[in-house]
Amino acid sequence: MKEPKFHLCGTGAVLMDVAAGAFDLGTQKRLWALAAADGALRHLGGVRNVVLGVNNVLVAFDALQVAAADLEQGIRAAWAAAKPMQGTGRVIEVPVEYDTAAGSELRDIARRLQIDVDEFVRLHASGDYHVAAIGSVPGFPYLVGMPPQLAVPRLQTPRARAPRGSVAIGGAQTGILTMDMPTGWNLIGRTSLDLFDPHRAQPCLFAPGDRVRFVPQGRGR
Amino acid sequence: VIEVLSNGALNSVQDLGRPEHLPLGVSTSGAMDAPALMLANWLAGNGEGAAGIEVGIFPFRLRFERAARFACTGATASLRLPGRTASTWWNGQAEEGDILVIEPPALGARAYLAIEGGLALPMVLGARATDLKSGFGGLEGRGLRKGDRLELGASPGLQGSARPIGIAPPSRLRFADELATGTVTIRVLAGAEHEQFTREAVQAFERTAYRLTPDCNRQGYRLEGAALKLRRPLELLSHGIVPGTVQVPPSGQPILQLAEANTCGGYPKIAAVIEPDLWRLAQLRPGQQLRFQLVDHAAALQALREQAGELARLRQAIAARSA
Repeated sequence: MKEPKFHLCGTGAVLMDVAAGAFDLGTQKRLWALAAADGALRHLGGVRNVVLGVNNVLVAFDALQVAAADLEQGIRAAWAAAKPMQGTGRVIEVPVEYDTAAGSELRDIARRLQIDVDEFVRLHASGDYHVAAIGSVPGFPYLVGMPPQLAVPRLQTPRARAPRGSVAIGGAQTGILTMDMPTGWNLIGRTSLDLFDPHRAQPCLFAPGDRVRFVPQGRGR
Repeated sequence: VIEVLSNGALNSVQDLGRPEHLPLGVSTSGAMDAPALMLANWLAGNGEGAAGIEVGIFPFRLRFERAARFACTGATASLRLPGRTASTWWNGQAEEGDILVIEPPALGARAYLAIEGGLALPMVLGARATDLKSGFGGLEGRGLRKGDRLELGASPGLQGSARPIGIAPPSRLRFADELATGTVTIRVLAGAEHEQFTREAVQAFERTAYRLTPDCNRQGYRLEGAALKLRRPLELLSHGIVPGTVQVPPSGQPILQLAEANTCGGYPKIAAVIEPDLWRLAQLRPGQQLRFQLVDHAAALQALREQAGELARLRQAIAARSA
């Protein structure tokens, strides 16, 4: 296994990077266990917060309460002992209206990838997706598990605004926009699921370790 | 109740934010100049985390519909009340019906208005701060508009005379002196990818000034100056970032991530502004210049202790004179 790398991020945070090149699901499963609300990192002295990334984790701490070097040692030990978490056990179905209309981005991508439109939808919906992490903007799931043949580069110039609920592909990842926002990702459909609502008891629909299934709806079926 | 008499999408209700919800992808948000809000709150007789108004568009006018102690800090600006003038960094007493005007600041970019009792808005995810990017918190998740009416919380039952109290934090005086020279120094710690930048880039980052472009807001500031190049292209997986992170996108022009920054990002990080210097960024305006100074971790910790010490001393002084 690769030695974790530690980087201070300002006075009050340290990033542990355990990535070895491309994304690794096994590594992420250990990070799920480590970064969980009741995980080992939460019990280290001086820790304020734990932000899970993709094959990395950021630990925010009170620098006046704990020395960075001591905390780093604690994180290192916790990582060495971390066992993979087999996900949350939840499978969340996401109904998607794939936009297969003439002139749609999905059609354009399918043509560029030389994949039939129906096959494109079937492939995208066949992926065994995991929520690797939540972040960037409220409730946004970093989904891994998209069939690699659907990878398509991000736009050269990001669009100024895409609507919430958009299902999108950026590089080898697929994502669901949780709010109206600018994005350089390619839009392939929409879902009616509300992934984030700050007024709900559970604001985020998804949690790290959830599995996700896209279910084609309507004409795109 | 107070009634807002000015429009301004950049005027918003802020407290100390919601850092505990970063794992949901929710930005820290809160006052860009957090120490200024804390000081204003203490001067107004509140706890440090009471909700006040971050004012970024001037002049800002509001009407008091009940008598209240208030204080304004952050930027240095003149204040007008019926029949008298006042200044930021002092507290004051407004009477029922008084209109307060915060004039355009002589120095700084953001003023913080705290009012006795604090703004009684509902808590969203543990805070009253407005998250303008995501559209929640504060008043309907948006900037303040003319005609908005804001409830005040129960008065903390202030004792003593209404004799005004003023403060002059030494850190603010130093900042003013620096600003007068045209370039402000911002202390940073090296970022995770600092070593991956070219020697020229690392030198330029420290030795040349960067200017704030017009593209500066609560999410972050885009800077312009010497382009910062990597030795070779880097592909990073998304990772947590904190306010103060200095990211370098492919253009080579750095971006400072601030209060409403996305919680995760993927651009290489050349540095991170130390926590006790974040407020200085909040008080810079587009067109002004800063210079980054690389410090080591020990120096950063020392600066953090000094800031905590200054705030504790001021808090005590305010309490002693309010008694």
